[in-house]
Amino acid sequence: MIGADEPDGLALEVRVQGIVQGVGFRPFVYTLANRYELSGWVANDTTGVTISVQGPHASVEAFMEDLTCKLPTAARIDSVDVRSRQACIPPASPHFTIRQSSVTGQKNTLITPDLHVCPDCEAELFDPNNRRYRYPFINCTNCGPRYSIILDTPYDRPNTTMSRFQMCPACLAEYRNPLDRRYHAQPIACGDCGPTLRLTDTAGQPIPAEDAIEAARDRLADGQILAVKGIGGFHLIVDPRNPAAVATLRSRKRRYKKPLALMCRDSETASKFVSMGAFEKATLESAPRPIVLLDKLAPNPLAPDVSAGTMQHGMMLAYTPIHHLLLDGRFDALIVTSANLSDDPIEFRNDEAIENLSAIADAFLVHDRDIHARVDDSVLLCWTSDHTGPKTMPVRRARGYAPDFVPLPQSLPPILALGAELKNTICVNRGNQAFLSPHVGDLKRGKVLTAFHQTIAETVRQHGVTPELMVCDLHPQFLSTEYANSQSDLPILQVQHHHAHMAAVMGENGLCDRPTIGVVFDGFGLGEDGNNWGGEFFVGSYASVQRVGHFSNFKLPGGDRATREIDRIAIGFLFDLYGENAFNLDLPVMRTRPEEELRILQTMIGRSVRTPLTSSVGRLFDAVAALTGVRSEIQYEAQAAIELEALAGRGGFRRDACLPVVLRSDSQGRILVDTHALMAEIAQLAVLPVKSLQEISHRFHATVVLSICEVCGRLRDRFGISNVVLSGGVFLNRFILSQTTDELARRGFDVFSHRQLSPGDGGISYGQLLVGGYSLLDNPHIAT
Amino acid sequence: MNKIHEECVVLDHGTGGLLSGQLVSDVIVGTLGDVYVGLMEDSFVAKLDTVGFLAMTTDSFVITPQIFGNGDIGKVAVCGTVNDLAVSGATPKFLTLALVLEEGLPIRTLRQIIASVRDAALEANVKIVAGDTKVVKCGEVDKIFINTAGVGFVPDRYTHLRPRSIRDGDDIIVSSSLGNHSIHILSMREGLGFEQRVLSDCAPLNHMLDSLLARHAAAIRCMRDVTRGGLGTVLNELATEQSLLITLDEERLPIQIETRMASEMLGVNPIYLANEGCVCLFADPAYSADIVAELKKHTYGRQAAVVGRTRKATDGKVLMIDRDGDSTIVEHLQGMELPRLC
Ligand SMILES: [Fe+3]
Ligand SMILES: [Mg+2]
Ligand SMILES: [Zn+2]
Ligand SMILES: [Zn+2]
Repeated sequence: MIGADEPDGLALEVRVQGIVQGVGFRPFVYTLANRYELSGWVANDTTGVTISVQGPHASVEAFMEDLTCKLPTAARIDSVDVRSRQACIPPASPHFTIRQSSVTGQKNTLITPDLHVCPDCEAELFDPNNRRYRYPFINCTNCGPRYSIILDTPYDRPNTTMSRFQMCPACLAEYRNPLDRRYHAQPIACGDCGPTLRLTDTAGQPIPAEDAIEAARDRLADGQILAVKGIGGFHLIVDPRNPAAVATLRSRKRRYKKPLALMCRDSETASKFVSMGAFEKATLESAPRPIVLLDKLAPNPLAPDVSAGTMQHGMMLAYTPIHHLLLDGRFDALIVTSANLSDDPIEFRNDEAIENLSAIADAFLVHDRDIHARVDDSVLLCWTSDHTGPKTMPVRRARGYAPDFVPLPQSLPPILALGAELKNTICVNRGNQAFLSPHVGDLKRGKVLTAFHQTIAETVRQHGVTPELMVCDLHPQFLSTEYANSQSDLPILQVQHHHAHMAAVMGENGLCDRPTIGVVFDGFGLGEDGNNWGGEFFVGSYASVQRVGHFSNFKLPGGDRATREIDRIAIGFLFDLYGENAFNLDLPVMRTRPEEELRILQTMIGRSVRTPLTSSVGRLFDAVAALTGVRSEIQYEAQAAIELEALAGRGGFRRDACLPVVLRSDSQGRILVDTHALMAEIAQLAVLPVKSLQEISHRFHATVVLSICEVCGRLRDRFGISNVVLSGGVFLNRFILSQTTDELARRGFDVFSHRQLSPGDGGISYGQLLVGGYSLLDNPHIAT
Repeated sequence: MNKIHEECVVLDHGTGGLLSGQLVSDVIVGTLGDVYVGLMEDSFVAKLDTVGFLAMTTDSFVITPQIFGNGDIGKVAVCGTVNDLAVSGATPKFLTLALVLEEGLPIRTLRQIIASVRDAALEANVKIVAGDTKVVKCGEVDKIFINTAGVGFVPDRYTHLRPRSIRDGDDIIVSSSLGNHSIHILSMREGLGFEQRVLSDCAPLNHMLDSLLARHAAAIRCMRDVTRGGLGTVLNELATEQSLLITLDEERLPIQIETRMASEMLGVNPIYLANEGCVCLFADPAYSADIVAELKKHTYGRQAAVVGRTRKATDGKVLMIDRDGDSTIVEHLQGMELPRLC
């Protein structure tokens, strides 16, 4: 520094990590640097963004402040690391540049989730004077596909499925202009140079149409089923006002009862069908554009079959230009459901989709922008309690969230967690960041297993992780466990299902590694004693737990079969409770089968033939639904529990509504909630003529809440712990979730539930990763 | 005292003393009659006039109840070993018979079981050439365990019948309704009431397979008998070992309606239920219709059907395709089928 001037300037080099690529971060930095008349450069690399600036001291400081608080909407900074800070002489004529991406080094960039159409692009889409008027692939740095089209990092056009489209001069000019909203928008395109939409028949042959969108809309209006390629895969779209069309969709897709999701252009239109407060509206409009479960309005102009038997519609807002064009001015709402055959993975490649969906869809609206990674729509529910205020809880975490990380409470060694068998997701981590895959599905389905293998390979590669340990479920026959056993190169840790659930809810709430009470209620997980668990009370933490209580075991006559024919569970209770006298009970459930079948069940129950035991609260809901005649068989998972919840209504928890809670203890001193005593009470209420299903359901729900509170009270007395975490699919029941939260809070507990992850098995992989990570910290030998 | 000896097996029946000799010569050899060709020497020695390859196998049999509706453990012990030989392309010739008896087993029951051994051996045209009898204390076995070993001869032209002969595109054929033996036994044991309507399929298959091979050996790649673990287990073993993608059409699986009803009540998948007289074979699809027709001519093959096909693949897997075209993985069971659903 030789010169006449004093070095009153400042030179900084900083590394920024977070969601900083593909979201207009560099142009933002460029604009900011120019505003403060600073010199230097900004560059993307495989680990984030590096910025070098120099200029007058005050200007550099101001620049740094704006950098973190005036971010573009889709960006998020997780860390700013100042690598060098030196005094300097401010350059006389400031010059700031955006440098080419460098491709060396470790992969640490966060890949951005896919983004919904931003308001600017939406306005241009419908502006006849704009050069992208009605162009179905309009996007900018604030919106458009990301994760689903990215092949590799750094995020640059050659690393996306857009690489095959050569930009026209107009697009190129925008792409190169740091002051343009489309500067380095990798999926940039227009009608002259970008992807095109076409309508095809079920053989993939083009259907001639002047305007593919208009032709598609005509078909929808005629009651046809359209397969439409979206961001993360294909959807099946149908007009929800047309009962015949809805019925056809259901029978062809073989989804006979499960509710179908709806899409509207904006929340104003959506409020014609569902009721929403400010919180629900904000959730619906939130950046990931999830499907939100919202209460139906009555009367409702839609076919009743859209979501029969439930109080709610799954509602989402249009998130791609194609959706906006399809809805615009003609449809208030469309049924938009993932395009797959029952539970197969969502279709995402043109040829496969046309082949596999030709018996479902009448026509296909496809395009030539390839989807690299499939990703389903996310599903959220909104709930509230006095204690927490309004909150959301994911039912399925996928598009809009994946592949963003979920923080871990501390940095853990690299681990690959393989998840459960149903609603499978997998999870890997880099330090304290856990990356969950989107929903993979039910591994027992032939096609899902292939998707599972692809997801593992892709997730590990994309995040540049070399796992030291593989974690899977305790169940030896889960296909994820079999996968782990087939990989010889890594040590394996098998984690009990409900322990993983508990670790997941602790981890995402950032709880430290301290003894906690875990209440985990779900449908099924193999327990350490070989029985089927699902109504568990634990005391413990990440690396280990102790089973300190559970709902007392009851019978599942016929094993898995009883999870579909739920009357078997109720019949199991009745024969246990009343023996031969069960035949004399005037209960709806005793009338569902011929006597011959009841006799066989009686023998199976009496002699424990093919009759495993379970402590599952999910199954207890089924038993109550069957006992009271709500239904005796289910067509989709949790159907009976959902209907029972609808009957319970929204009334709060009342102590006087509760049935007696009978607590016992077993030989190991565990607290048992006596399920037989509870079912005997329900049976008394349900003896024909059943007075009020609403009342029975309400009282049952309240009793489950009271049982939780009483057991937690005893555990607090015994262990001196007052942190309670709630997990497992049963806590998707809003009555149970909100009333348990409030009642525990009233009794002085600190209560935590899921916010970012599903309480169902979709969150298991993250919990497995935590159990594995903390076990590894405690005992590094596992991995050697 | 003597009376008891006549009625029940006692420990002294297995000591090698006089009482042992009586039991063997009177009850066992006496009942077996001409089927028994052993000479009470240390081993059976025979001059071979057959050319070809020697096939040998052994199996131990433990069944509760020992005597069931249409058969007993004696019949199963002969058929099991005969069928193991026959599916290898062998003509079964000689069997050994080793018994482990529980003290207190009624002699009458033993006679009945040995008579079944005799009848099955007569039907299968095999000779019993050596035997052994032990008696153990009450509770050490459940009434009776039987081990049989068998020897047969495989003509040169049948030596290709092995798993590695299976080719891409082969059809899979089964010869009888699946799962009847399991359901019959389970229903007998637990009193489920299906035992009258679902009978065990236990039978020696060697004559049927003989005549099948005589006509169609060149079109048949490999045969397996479907026993414990059912078709699901047989196919998974082959799929893994030979890297095959096997697809089964659920609708084509021959399953007796009552067996299906019983399976549904019990919540078991018939694909994992045992047979004792069912062969699964892999064949050139051009000849599978002829093979099925040939099997159907025989009493034990009347339910024969093509049920699936094979593909060469990178890793082995068995898929079940249902009526709607949905595919589900047929897993390789590790132990008992455990519940797994949420
Ligand atoms: Fe679970
Ligand atoms: Mg054998
Ligand atoms: Zn935009
Ligand atoms: Zn262009």
